Amino acid sequence: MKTRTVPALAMLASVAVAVLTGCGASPATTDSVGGTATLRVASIDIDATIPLTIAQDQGFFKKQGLTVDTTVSPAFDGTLAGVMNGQADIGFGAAPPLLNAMAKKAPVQVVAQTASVVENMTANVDVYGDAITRPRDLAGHTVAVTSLNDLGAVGIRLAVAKDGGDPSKVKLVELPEAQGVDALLQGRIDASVFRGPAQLAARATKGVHVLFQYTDGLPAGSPLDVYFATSTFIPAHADALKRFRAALAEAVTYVNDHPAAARTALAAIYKDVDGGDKLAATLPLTHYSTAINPDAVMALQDGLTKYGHLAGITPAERFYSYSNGK
Amino acid sequence: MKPRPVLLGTAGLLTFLAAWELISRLGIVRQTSLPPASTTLARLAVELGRPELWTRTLETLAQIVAGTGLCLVIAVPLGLLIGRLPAVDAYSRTSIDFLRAVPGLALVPLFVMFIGARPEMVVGLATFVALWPLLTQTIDGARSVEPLALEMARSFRLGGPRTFARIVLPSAAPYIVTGLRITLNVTLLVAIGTQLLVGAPGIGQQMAQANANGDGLAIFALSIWAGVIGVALNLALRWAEDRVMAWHKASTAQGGAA
Repeated sequence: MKTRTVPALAMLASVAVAVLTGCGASPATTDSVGGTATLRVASIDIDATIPLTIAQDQGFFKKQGLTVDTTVSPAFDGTLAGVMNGQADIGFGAAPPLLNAMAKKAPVQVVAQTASVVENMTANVDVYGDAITRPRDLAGHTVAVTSLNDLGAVGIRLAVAKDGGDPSKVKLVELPEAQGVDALLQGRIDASVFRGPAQLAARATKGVHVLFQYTDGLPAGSPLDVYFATSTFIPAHADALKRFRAALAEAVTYVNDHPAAARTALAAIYKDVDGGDKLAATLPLTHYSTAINPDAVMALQDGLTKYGHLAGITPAERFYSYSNGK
Repeated sequence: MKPRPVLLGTAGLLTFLAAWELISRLGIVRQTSLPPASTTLARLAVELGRPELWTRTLETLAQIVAGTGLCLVIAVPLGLLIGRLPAVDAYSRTSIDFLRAVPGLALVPLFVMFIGARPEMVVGLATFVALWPLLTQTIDGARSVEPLALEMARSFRLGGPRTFARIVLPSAAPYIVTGLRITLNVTLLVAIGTQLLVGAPGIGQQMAQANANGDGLAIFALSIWAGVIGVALNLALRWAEDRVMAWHKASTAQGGAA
């Protein structure tokens, strides 16, 4: 064996370790210095985080004496692990998986919220043709959703039940929205959820039309996506979190009053998506709100228990670490 | 590298791309499900002009190199020990068969829980999954030493360390290289797959972000890029193998054909 091989391997390992160290997460940086607190937020660039982006861009966080460092964290499991391991101070995620985690005693609580279920939301469940005319007709048929554990899946079953149908006879399958139109046309599925860019393809396809909005079945005021932190972090940084919520509240007001700013943010999110500029210009805008509704959280959990395999009920005062206006 | 294999390889790749383009353009598979090759490559070119893809690529490469390096450090000494000492082999065989059958994906939640969605988690999981091919190949290589060669070493009174360095290791080296080739590819697959699942830094994370935004074309483009990285890594390994194992190629028919 040539003797050059061993030093070469050692050098290779050293380079890898050096690069990896540079790629690793930074240590906690949340100490206040002269009244400025730094918060590390693990989130993802989607329309639900537009208030976070606006708060950054318009200086609302700075106004509150906060520096917010965001990192990309697309998967809820990774975000939850990151928050619990201290990689991030605050995580962003959907309410159903968070409720599942809390039911299994994960030591986290919600620290902020910027959107909840309201009337006339765009959460399309589309069908092809005229055979299915109302939610209860979905019993015995196959519906594509993005995740079996998200609000779409639960909302569809609740909507079927509300319409007098048998939700247990609705077969849900996970399918990326981009494949939904083809699957509908080929008859592999009977209905599909379209929320994002795939809406454009659905609207442009003859015969594909909206059957109902899956949010119609969800309790009004249910949280959609929330910001959460660990139960030890929250009391130790109560003031910083209060300012975080205040900045988000200001961002929410700004976005609702300036729809052009929301569309600009959407255009940035969908800049690389085919038809993204048209989507950003035409997508119905979310009405953001920081108001929380503890009763709606409990009603949502009833639905999740029946149709979402929720492992246990979390009291609203445990779910939220704060109350309205605080 | 000889020109003929390169030309044939390029021709094969172009044929694949042409078939992909036709299948999409002719509507055999709808373009919303399978964008044309030309559109995908154009999008890849756009992504390559952005620093983000290069940052993610470096992160992924670092994880692959670290994982493969750890596999080498663990599997080669262990494999040689198991291969040369029957008692150790008898002791460890069942445990190895059990551990290598554990599906890596099933361990993702465990690794994420204890380590978090960090590069270290990706490296740890990739090492666990990719270790076994290299270990079993090394064991087989250690067992493949010609008894006559060992007899000769004894006759010349080479002693243990020199017998190991001059006889055992060179005999096992071709098997180790074969195992390393498999390990490298498995590390790449596990690294990107884990990044995609849990959002750890890397190309997989970028794919997950694109998926969240419904950007299917980006996912195809990034998948192509992952394939390019795989080819580049294999070429690099082959280059290193040609230098380190030149003596082996010269002594086998493989060396004549190359």
